[in-house]
Amino acid sequence: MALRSEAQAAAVHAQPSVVRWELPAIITASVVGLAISLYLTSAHYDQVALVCSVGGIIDCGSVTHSAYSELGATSLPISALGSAWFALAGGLAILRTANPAWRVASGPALAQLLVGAAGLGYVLYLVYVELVQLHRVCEWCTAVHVLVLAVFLLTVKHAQEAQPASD
Amino acid sequence: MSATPGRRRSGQAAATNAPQAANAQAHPDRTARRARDRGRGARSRQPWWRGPWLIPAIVGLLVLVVVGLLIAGRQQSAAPSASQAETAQVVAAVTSIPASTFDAVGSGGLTNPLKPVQLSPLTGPNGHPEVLYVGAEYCPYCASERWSLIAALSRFGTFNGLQLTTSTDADVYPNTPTFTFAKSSYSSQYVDFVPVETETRSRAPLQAMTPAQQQLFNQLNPSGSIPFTDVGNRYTGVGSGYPNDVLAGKSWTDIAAALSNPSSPVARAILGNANYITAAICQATGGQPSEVCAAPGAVQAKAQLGG
Repeated sequence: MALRSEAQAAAVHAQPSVVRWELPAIITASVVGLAISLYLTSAHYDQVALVCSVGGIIDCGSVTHSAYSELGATSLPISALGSAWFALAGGLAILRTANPAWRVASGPALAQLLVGAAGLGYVLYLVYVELVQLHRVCEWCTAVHVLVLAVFLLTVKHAQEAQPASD
Repeated sequence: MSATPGRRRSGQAAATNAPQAANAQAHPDRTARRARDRGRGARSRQPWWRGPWLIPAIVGLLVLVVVGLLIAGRQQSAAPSASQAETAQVVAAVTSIPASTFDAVGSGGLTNPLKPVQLSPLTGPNGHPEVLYVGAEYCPYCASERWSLIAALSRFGTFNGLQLTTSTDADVYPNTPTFTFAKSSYSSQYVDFVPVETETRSRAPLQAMTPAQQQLFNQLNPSGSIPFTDVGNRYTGVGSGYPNDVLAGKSWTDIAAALSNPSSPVARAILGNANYITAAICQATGGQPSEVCAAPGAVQAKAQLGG
């Protein structure tokens, strides 16, 4: 019975027309992450109020208006970078979902992994800034960080399970 | 029933498998072991990154990193924070010191902290003589020098966005109350102020010098010490212009309050140094504005500047 299941699973992997669950999950996480990032960008420019705790260690206002909230010497908020990242990660997942050849080709899979790894690396830097530099944690930012991690892990999982086209 | 998975594709294969089937019935343990060995072989052929341990390993590694950051964050204490009202009060005190207080302090008993240099005049982004400051938020001597720089430059123009902070607690004169220039701006019709805060209070990179600034910094300050102040390529200062222990144990509001008393050690140190900086800026601006440059405190400091 177990051997039969493995054979069935292999048959599923070999079919590029089958959309595995990880890609829709990546798209969903990216849409949510994009929405939060756009909200944080609007809040950075004081276009909308930032709904969060203030005054304690959980203080998103201190984090999103800190010296680290902008990209280098520019006035561009890093939440704009986050928006672009989620758009890229979600866009890649949509393309791979829509295109059977992209689903099994190694190039798009590698691109998605690299995007995910870059996002995770930047998230680790931001967590360092929050915990070591600012001693403040922003709950909205943490939600974004968890979504970036989820996208990365889903991408890894999809790469593990997908059958390469050359197999 | 065959113990070998897969279909029989030819009579030869069936004939080959027939003895194996008989053998399986005769030795069920041995057959099961062979099946397990085949499974292990298949697993060992799959690439390492397809292993089921990869995602748990990534998650575990990330948990370790976050725990490490939490420990590092506890060891590096946060800068004491100031309320907006306190910031506004302290900034107002240091940027609006009456000329009479500067004059009463004079040189404040300090020896001249600036050194004359002979280079072509340094011009800032708005075409005025440039005051270049290179320091860092963690640096205790930068902390004390900023009080004098802000006091002096406020006689020529206006600061915006000054924030309160302290020097690091992991160096001499820990937690010296000060400001940061990192997010500030300065406007003046006489002088351009260009600050560069290279590192944060916890020594993370913050702002980088331009190649031209770096070249000037290396040329005029071979030791690479901070704070470094270049007043229009006419005078340079390295280090704080007064002893840091004057500020020891004092809060921002303590220092701000003491600035209004010209006989206090704090005012004599900060404003005496500020008068030297004022006199140096006046040399760069050609004595403009005259009400600042002709003030007795600046004139007294100018007499000791040299150059």
